Amino acid sequence: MESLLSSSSKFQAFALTVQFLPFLEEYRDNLQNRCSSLTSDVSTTFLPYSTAGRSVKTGLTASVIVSQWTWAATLLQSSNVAWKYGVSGPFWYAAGATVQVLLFGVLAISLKKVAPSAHTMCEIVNARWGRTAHKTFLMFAILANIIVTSMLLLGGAATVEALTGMNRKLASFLIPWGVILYTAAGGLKATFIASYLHTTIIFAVLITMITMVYIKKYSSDEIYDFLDATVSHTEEECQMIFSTDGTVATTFYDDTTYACGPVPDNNSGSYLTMLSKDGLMFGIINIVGNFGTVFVDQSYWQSAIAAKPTSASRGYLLGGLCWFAIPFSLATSLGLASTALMLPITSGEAGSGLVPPAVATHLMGNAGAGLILTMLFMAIVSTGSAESIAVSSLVSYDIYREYFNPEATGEQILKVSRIVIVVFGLLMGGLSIILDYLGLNLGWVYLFMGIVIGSAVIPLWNMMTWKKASGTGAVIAAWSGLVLAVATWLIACSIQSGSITIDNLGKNEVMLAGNLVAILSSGLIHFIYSMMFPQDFDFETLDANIKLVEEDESGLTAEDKDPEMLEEAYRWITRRGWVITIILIVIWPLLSIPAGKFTKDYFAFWVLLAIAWGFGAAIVITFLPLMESSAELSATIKGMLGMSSNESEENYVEKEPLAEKVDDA
Amino acid sequence: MEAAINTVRQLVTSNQPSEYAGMSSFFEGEAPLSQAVGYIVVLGFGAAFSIFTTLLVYLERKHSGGGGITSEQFK
Repeated sequence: MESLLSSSSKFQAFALTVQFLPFLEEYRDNLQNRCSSLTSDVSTTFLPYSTAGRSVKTGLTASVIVSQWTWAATLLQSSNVAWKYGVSGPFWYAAGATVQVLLFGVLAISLKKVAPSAHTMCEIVNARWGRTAHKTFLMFAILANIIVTSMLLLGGAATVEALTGMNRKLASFLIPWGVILYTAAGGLKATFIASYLHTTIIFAVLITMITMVYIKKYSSDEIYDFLDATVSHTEEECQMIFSTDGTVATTFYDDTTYACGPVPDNNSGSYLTMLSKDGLMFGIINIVGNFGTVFVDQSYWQSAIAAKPTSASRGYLLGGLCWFAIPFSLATSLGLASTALMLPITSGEAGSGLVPPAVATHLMGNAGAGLILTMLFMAIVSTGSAESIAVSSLVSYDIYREYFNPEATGEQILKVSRIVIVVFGLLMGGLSIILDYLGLNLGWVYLFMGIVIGSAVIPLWNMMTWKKASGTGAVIAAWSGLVLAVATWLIACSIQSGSITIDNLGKNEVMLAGNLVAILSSGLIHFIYSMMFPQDFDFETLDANIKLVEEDESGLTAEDKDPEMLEEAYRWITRRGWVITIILIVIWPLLSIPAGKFTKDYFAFWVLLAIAWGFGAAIVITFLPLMESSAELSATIKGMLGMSSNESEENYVEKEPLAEKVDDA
Repeated sequence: MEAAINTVRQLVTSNQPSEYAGMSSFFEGEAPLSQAVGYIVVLGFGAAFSIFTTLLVYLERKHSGGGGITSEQFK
């Protein structure tokens, strides 16, 4: 979930930080950033294979995006929606969260054009709209980080408890320590390597699971037949299946708790169709909610801000497409297998993200459970470290420097950042424990987040792209959007269910109403207000209002500021971003409608697509970064095998141009 | 009624694996892995990554010829 692409001045700010604040720089979680900083300043070069700078970028960028985008929810909730809605669940999960990455690439290039000096998105708000708007969007930004992180821990801890028996409150409290330690000790180059490692491990487990379900243990035909059998049961049969001794008298069956019998509101009551009312509704909530978590989450802006434009836009696109495989292929395997086999998973377990570990345990015993646990931990660590860095930037630049110490030195900002990483990690552990006491699970919070932060999305988009966008209008839009969304959500709940309870508030229709109102009402209000009282903003002046930590431009090269190159990168990502978005959320679903309930052959094709996408993405994400940096890697290895450091430095110098040629070709 | 139960039993064996018959939830409070594994992953992976990455940073400094402690020591 996190993105990238960049702004040259971010780059500049970063290189500057590299010189003055090595540790702060280390906290920045962006690959691009790392590469460019390292390239620009040989004296602080640590990672020989990342010094290849621009020539390395595409594959590694993609890998970093994938690792930041992969939440606990990506691995766990995608299978939950497969368990609930069938084949449409994994598709909507994947498509509904991929398009934002692609589209954020567009915003990132705009950012690079108009505000290359920014460290955080709130600085841009402040530079354009002043302090009232700054405080408003700062609140939304921090809320976004808090929701994402607590969701990460909530899902992670529930799974750790189910798999190992470790108390989940204790797990919620202990998991952040891994992230804190790793983020603090790892630093810039290390997080770079770690992101790559996380991603390859996640993909290794992913292809293992696909292989187990569709190649080794079952086939697509068998899963198809099983899924048909599951929905063919009558209520009485279901009661017998889910009973202590096989009779109706001893049943514990409840049609909202177990997957048995026809799926309500699906075509033919089948799991094997894209014509699923609830699946579609989930898809829409997912699209809306993820716009909130991408566009309002500082960690995406941070990556975007820090990266270089050209190969970063490619990395963005590639990262988004590779990420698609994680929810789609994983849930098409594990999620569908769970209902096909009628495992006794309760809706409570599924909502807590336990479908993948249950199926993995069924398929491979303890080894399967261990693999899911490992995969999950990788996802938590990489996203958690990105989120902590995002919050520490917001606090140090937008609170500490803006309101407490405007003349803060690099050293002071670094100190604040490190404190915030530790404090935030601990607070998040505490918050996820509170959420757990309230009885909110991962699925609930996932649907809820769009209601809370959705109203900030369109004002932020307008800020970057529309000169008339009004600051006062943005503040009014964001707050009233939030109020309207919450009111709609509560009212819709009481109309639909008669009473307001946590369970009723979690229903799809109610969440959908709240999510849509959040994003649309704020957009409308901002539009109307800005038409009535337009700001006549000159984007040329934006960057000048953003203050660097030190007055140092050394990180920026002329190439990074080249308007033609930026324009070219903008066109590149815009065209592809929109085309792929439309294919994923319009054309593909429309094409699958005539299929109705899938035939066996159609399902086999669908599964083949999931398998191919999973393996393809795994190969690209594992090998492309290695291939792109092979020259630098071999120089490092030679250096380690005893050649002097001077020689390895020469190797690096000689080989870099080669690598660049390869990249251009 | 006898016949109906038999039919269902057959469905159970062909669809839901028999080992799950009569279970009201998949995990039923029983964890497949031991608590030790939980601690190893939660605490051990964090520590291992920190050590591993710090080591890599050290190696890079040493072999890339860049600044840092190494060059200071050898001056």
